[in-house]
Parts: sequence; C-alpha cells; structure tokens
Amino acid sequence: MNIKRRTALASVAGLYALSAFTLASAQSSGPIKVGALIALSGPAAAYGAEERRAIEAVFNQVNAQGGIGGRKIEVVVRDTKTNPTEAARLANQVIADDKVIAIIGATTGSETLAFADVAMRAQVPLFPMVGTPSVTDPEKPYSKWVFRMSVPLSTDLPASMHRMVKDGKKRMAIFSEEDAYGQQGAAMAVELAKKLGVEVVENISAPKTATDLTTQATKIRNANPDAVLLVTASTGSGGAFLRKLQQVGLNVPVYGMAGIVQKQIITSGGTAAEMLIAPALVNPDEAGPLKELFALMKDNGGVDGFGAVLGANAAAGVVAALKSGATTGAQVRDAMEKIGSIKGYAAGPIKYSPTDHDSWGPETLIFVTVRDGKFKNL
Amino acid sequence: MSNEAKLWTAPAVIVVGFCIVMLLGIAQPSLHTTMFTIGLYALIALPLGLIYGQGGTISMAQGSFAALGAYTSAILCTRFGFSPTLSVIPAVVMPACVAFLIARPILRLPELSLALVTLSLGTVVAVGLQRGGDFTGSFVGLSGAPPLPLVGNHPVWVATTLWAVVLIVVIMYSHFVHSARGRSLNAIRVDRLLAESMGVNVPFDLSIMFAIAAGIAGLAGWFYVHTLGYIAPDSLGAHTSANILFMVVLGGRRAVLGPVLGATFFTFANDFLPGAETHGLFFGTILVLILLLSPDGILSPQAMRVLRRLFSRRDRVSRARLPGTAEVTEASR
Amino acid sequence: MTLSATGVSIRFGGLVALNNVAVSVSPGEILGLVGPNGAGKTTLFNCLTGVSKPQAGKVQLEGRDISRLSLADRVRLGIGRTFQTPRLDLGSSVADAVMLGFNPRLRQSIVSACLPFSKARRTEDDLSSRARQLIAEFQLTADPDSSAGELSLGHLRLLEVARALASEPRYLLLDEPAAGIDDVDRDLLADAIRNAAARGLGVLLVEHNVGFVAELSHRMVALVSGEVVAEGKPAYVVADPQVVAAYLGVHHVAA
Ligand SMILES: Nc1ncnc2c1ncn2[C@@H]1O[C@H](COP(=O)(O)OP(=O)(O)OP(=O)(O)O)[C@@H](O)[C@H]1O
Ligand SMILES: [Mg+2]
Repeated sequence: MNIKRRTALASVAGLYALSAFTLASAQSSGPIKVGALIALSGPAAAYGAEERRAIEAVFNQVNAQGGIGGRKIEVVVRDTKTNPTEAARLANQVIADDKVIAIIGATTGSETLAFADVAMRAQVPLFPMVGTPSVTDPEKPYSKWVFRMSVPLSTDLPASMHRMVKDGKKRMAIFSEEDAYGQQGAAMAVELAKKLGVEVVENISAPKTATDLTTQATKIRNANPDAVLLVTASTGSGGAFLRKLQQVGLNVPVYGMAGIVQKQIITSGGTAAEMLIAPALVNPDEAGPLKELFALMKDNGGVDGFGAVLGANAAAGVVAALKSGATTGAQVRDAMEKIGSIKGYAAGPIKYSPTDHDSWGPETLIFVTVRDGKFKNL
Repeated sequence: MSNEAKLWTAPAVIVVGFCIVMLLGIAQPSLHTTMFTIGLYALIALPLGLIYGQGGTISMAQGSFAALGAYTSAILCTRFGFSPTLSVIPAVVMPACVAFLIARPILRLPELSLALVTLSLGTVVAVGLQRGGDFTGSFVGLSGAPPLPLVGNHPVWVATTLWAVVLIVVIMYSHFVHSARGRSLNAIRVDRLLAESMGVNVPFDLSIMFAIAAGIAGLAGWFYVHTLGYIAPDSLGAHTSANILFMVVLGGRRAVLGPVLGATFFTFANDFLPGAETHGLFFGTILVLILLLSPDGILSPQAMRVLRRLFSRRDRVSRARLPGTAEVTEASR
Repeated sequence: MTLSATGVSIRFGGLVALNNVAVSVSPGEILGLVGPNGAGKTTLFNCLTGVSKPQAGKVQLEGRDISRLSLADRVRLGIGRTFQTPRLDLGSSVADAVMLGFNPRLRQSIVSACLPFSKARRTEDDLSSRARQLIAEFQLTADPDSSAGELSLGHLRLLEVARALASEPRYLLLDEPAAGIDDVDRDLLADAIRNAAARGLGVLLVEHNVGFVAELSHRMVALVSGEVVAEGKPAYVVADPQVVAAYLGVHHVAA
C-alpha cells in the first residue's frame, strides 16, 4: 500500500517535471502553420474581418499553386476580441499548441504589445497590422521581431499635412480621439505644424465613447480654421464628427488619416464625407495601381478598405520569407530583413531592413476624396 | 464531516485539479498558459468571494486594484530600476492602502450603490492611467516589465508559482471561514446590528477585509505584468471587474472554491464562444439560469450539504461494513 | 457596582419613548421589566446596550459613564443581550451560531485566523466543545452541525440566550426570551436565568408573561408609556393599580 502510493507519487512528480521540459519541436513536416490573431469581435472587428479574408485569400492562392516546396500553409485564426489579455493568452496558445512560425496580427496596438514579449521569447516574428508607433520602437528588445504591416502614423500624418500646405492652408484645427493613436497623432501634428509654418488655431479631443461632438465642432468653428486635421482611425466617430462640422456650418477641407478610408465613413458621414481629403492605402471604389489586390479579393468578398491591403501584404510578406527558404521563426525574421522589396499588394514597394521595421512609406499612399457617395482618387 | 476535513477539502481539490490539468498539458502545452489565466482570475476572484460571499460587501473594483498593483510594479521596475522581488511589496500595499482609505465612507452604502461606486472607482483609475502621460504610458501602456524572479518565463513554472499562491490563499480562506473572525464577517453579512452586538467593529473590519482583497488583487496584477511584460489601461480594469464578479456569483459566492470554479468555467467557455458580442448574451443567460436554479451559484451551501451528505453516507457505510455482517451489506445496497 | 440608567429620555419624532427613566440592576439580581406593548422596554434595552443613544441621561457601568461607547464596546465590557426577534444567520449551523457568542471575549488577529496550526486553531476546538456543551445544556438540537434554520422559534430564543451567555457577560439583558416557547423550554430557560444570577450575573428580564417574571425576579419595574410607574418587590408591583390597569387594558384590547 505504502510502496504503491510512493511509486504513484513519484511517477506523478516525474510526469510533472517532464511537462516542464517538453521543448517546442520545430515543424519539419506537414503543413507550415502561421497564426493570425485578429480582432473579429469587439471595437476593432470592422477591420479584422477584412484582414482575415485577405490573409486567407493569399495563403489559399499559394496552396493552390502547390504551396511552399510541396508543403501547404495552414493559417490558425483566433479572435482576440479586441482585448489585450485575451490576445496574449491566444498568442501563447498558437505558439505552444500549434507551433506557428509567425503571427500575423494583432489588429490593434495594445493587443500587439501584450504578446510582443511572449513572441520574442518563442522566436516567433510578428506582423501587426497597426499604425501605433511603439510596436517598432527600436529601444524595445521585441522590436527585432516585429515587422509593421500597416502605414505608421509617421507616414500618413505628415503626408496629410504636406498636402494641406500644398493646398495653401494656413490655419489648422486638430480633432483627435482620446486613445493612443489620437494622442500621439495630435502631438506629432503640433510639432510638424511648427516646421511647416501652419498655425494650430484649435486642438481638441473627445473620448472614444463620446456620443455628442457638438461642443468640439462648435469650438473648432469658432476658431475659424481653413482646414481641419482629423486624427482618428475610427470611421464611426470620424463620420459623426464630419456630420457635426456640417451641422455647425463649417465648410473647410478635413484632412484625414489612411485608416479612415473605409466605405463605412461614407455611410456614417453622409454628404459631409465630401469634405474629406485623405491619404489612402487603397481606394475601395477605384482599383488604380492596386489591380492585383482587387483581382485577389474579387472572389473573396471584395475590397472595403485598407484591411484587405494590410492582410494581403502581411500574408505576402510571410510567403516571401518562406519562399526564400525560411523554415523556422528565426529564419523568417532574418529573411524579412534581407529579401528586399516584397512583391505585395500595395501601391508602393514594401522593404524592411535591420534598421527599418516600418517600411510603408509615402509611396504606398494615394490621395482620395468623396464624391457622390464614392471615393475618388485625387 | 470532521474539522480537519472541513479545512483541507478545498486545498486538496486545488492540488489535485492543478496536477491533472498540468499533466494534460504535456499533450496540449497551451493548457499551461490557460492555467495561468485561470489562476490569475481565481486570485482576483477569491478575495471577492470572501468579502462578498462571507461579508456581503460587493465590489466592482477588483480588476482596477489588480491594474493598480500591476502598474505600481511596472513603473517601479521600468522607471526606478526596482527588481520584481522588491516591487511585489508596493504592488500589494499600494492597492490595499487605496482601498482602506476609500472603504470607510463607501462601505456604508447599500449593495447597488456600492456596486456603482466601486465601478466608477474603476473608471477613475482608468482615466488616471490614460492621462498619466509618460509616467503611466498613457493609452499605449507600459512594456518592458522584467520577468518573474526565479521562475522567469517558463509557462510551467510560472503557472506553478501562481497556483502555489492560489493554494495558499485557499488554505487561508478555508481556515478563516472556520474561525471567530470568519464568523464575525458572516455576521456582518447577515445583520450588522447582530455583528456589533457580538463585539465586531463593523466599519473597521470591513475596511480591513476590503483592503486585503485589494492587496491580493494587486498581487495578481504583479503576476500579470511580470508574466506578459506589458500592461495597458484596457488590460485589466472595469471589464475585468465585471467578469470577476460574474465568476464569483456563478461559481458560488459562499463557497471557498466557488470563485475558482467560476474562473475555470469562464476561461474555458471563452475558447468555445464565437465572439465578444455573444459573450454578454451567453454569460448573461448562464447567470440567469444558474441564479434561478440556485441563487447562491453552483457551489451553493445547499449543494455543498448534499455533497457532504453523500460523502459522509459512504463513510458511514464503509465503516459499518467492517464487521462484515450480512445485514449491513444488505442495507448498503 | 451596578448597570444603571439615570434620567434617560429619548423621543422619536413627536413620540416620547422614554421619559426620565432610571433603572439599575446589581450583580446576582434578576430585575423583571414589565409593561404593555409600546411601553419602551426594548428602547430602554437599546439605550443600555448602545443600539440607541438617548437624548438625555446617562448609562453607567459600575460607576463608569459608558453613554458614549458603541454597542460593540459595551458588549466587550460585559453587557450581553438577546433580541426580541432573534437575530442570527439561519443558514449557518447551530454550533457556528452559538460560537459567534464567544467573539466579544476573543482578541483574534486576522493572521492567526487564517493560518493552520495557529493559536486560533487550538482555540477553535476548545470553542467548539464549549458551544456543544451549551447546546446540550439548552437541549437545542441533537446535531449541532444541523442548520439553525431548522430550529423552532422557541429554540431560536434559547439559542440567543446560550449565545449571550457564551460572551461571559456580567449583565444579561433578555428581551422577551419566553415568548412563544413551550413549557419544557420555559423551565430550562428559568433554570438558566437562576443559574446565571447565582453565578453573579445581573439579569434584566423583559417579559409579557407577568406570572413568569414575578416568579423569577427579585425585583420588578413597570414601565408605561415611557415612564416608570411602579418599582419594588414582584408582589407589590404586580398589585399596583396602574400596572393592573395597563395590563387589563391590554387584555381588553386583545380580547
Ligand atoms: N427607531 C424607532 N423609531 C421610531 N419609533 C420607535 C423606534 N423604536 C421604538 N419606537 C417607538 O417607541 C415606542 C416604544 O417602543 P418599544 O419597542 O421600546 O416598546 P416595547 O415596550 O418593547 O413594546 P413591545 O412589548 O411591543 O416589544 C413605540 O411606540 C415604538 O413604536
Ligand atoms: Mg419590545
């Protein structure tokens, strides 16, 4: 009895110790697994769904052509629910269970930061589809493993303001949302305005949950600007803000960010959306230089906005690294810095280097405005 | 049920359950990090079970106290060069002190107002963190918190350490409910006048328990930030507080293991739910159903009594069997 | 060496519940307090124990003014009481309900309460057996681990007396402990009260059953509409015309 109990205890302890030392074995046969941690529900779900369609479209295409050296790519999609804690848990899950060699995602900056350390330790490169500056902050050790798959704020915000100056505007009002994106954007805009000689006549923000923007719109009107800078990636509040400006009778061009060029802005902004001028990664109503993206998405739900561009390019980046011979996460990472321009689905080339994990420069942007309920290239 | 059994059943269940899941983790390694998540929620929920289930004092601030602990530690480590070994103390003390200071005026309120006040405390904390500029990392949050001392980042050791703490809390909780202090706290829930007539300094005792609950939540926050290396205003907060309350109420607020059961259910249910939108619906329906069937949650005192009777009957039968008379064997059929 | 109230007055809105009342009970004495419904008996208890703070007058315990002390503090000084409607957790076990009574005498730290093998653990066993002894003495139930909710009203009243005795009070204030209990239990209760007094406790007993009080008490006080109308030997108070009138009046109304 006693001896039996002791052996039982010893074997339990042994198994337990074993569980601590099971090492992540590298994938060598079977499909190559890639994680996709995307917000399919919660506040960022509007982008997530399109990102997912594009990612799957790219991988399906590669698989249809025989995969990578005979191995298929399997994408493991998980819904992060726009929640950092949940995102981190899922990252652990796809790394430990599915042994993915790369993760595409997340959809938002704080979700990405929540698993950046985890991914770094597991040597799994990340392809977040976010504009948040800090995900590629070179001072953070994890940034070595992060390749931005979206236009950073440091690209589209200056692009938008340069356009404003080119259009002869001198008095700018800034409207931002109270989140990481809006806050950093507004600060950046104030700095850049000094350099460009533009006067900031009003700088106002609203909480993400604000339902009434009358105060903000009125203040902006009273400051009498000749242009407004709209620093938000949310089409909901962006549209509401444009409507309010129209209601209070301010009719000046509103310069937006790339994130706002989504079909929803036209729905939520109505005719007020015609005030908008924005640098876009894609014009959903005109293929322009993005013929390949439209061809890819034709049978995959079409293009609603930049989510398709981000997802397709992130997947294309992973495919490029795999085609160059990478079979582990570390090799994918190294390849990304070396392979040069990725043949992707953007208006301009995307090219990473050991010192640049942001890439997406102004060449990837097209300026658009809204006419008669459709986006129109400028 | 003997006194010893009363004290040690819950801890034994924790140890056995933990070992089983960790062994299953050999086949499915993510169970190790899932166990971390469950342990984290359990650690925040257990003291809420104590103050709500035993003391009748609801709190919707546990998530925010955890955030406070996590931020305290992250700021000390990344800005002032503390080691996590040292910063664990302020991570616990800071939320506990805040809780103690605000406790006295608010704990007099009736349940609903108390829920609202503690919930808005969460909003205050969130806004403070968002507006804290570089100091709190504002909306972006703080990254770069160093890994846990000794165990580092290995999922198995991290989960084991966390569950060791959960076990200690469960042991202490089990002992507490079967002590004079535990009876005092229960008396407060039933009837404050009764508690006072039994010599209990109600406002002081409640404030202390509220502070202890916040301190333990802070400890959970410390585990969180040094495991993930990152904390943002929306990592832990009002939504966490609401989920934690759900776990406590669903699992059974009166039972020591109720919050742990709730945390386990919540975490696993998450994997089977399609999206955040359906969460409210799903968890709401479950909660209504359970509360209609058993107002004190799954592990209600009634359910516990039934379990106990089942076990003690088996005890009695096996003891009675020893003489081996045919009659007894017959009766036990 | 008494527990006393002097010149105590309290009003609720326009209603004068107690008007310049003075009572005192000495150790070893059983003082019966009678009076019709609404006379202010419970209110007087509340003033003595600290549940209510009188607007005038003071409460003294053995010469010390305790008017400002809280209910909890007074219990710790040795003023135990029961409630007219029993107050307890009907979901707890009978043993736990009685064990709550030991609390005023314990100075247990939270740390000790939480730890295995601590001092609190050792006292716990001791308290449990003392509680079981009290339960047996008052014949509350055969199974101390059964739920208190299963007890009859009479037994709940006895449980409160047992719980109050567990706090080792020097003065015991019983608010209608015999209301709604059967003859067997009433005898148990009477014995318990006599024993307590014999051990030197001062007992203040409120009861509507005048016969029961008169038999037990050493001295009686009659309260009508918040004022003391008679005081002295039971036989004398029971015969007092005002008391008779008050009680007859009550009976008339009841009939
Ligand atoms: N908190 C209170 N607020 C308002 N009125 C009160 C309060 N407490 C007692 N009273 C009133 O004071 C009077 C005395 O009440 P008390 O309960 O002391 O009477 P009692 O002698 O105990 O009567 P009973 O025999 O019915 O228990 C009653 O008229 C009662 O309604
Ligand atoms: Mg009364």
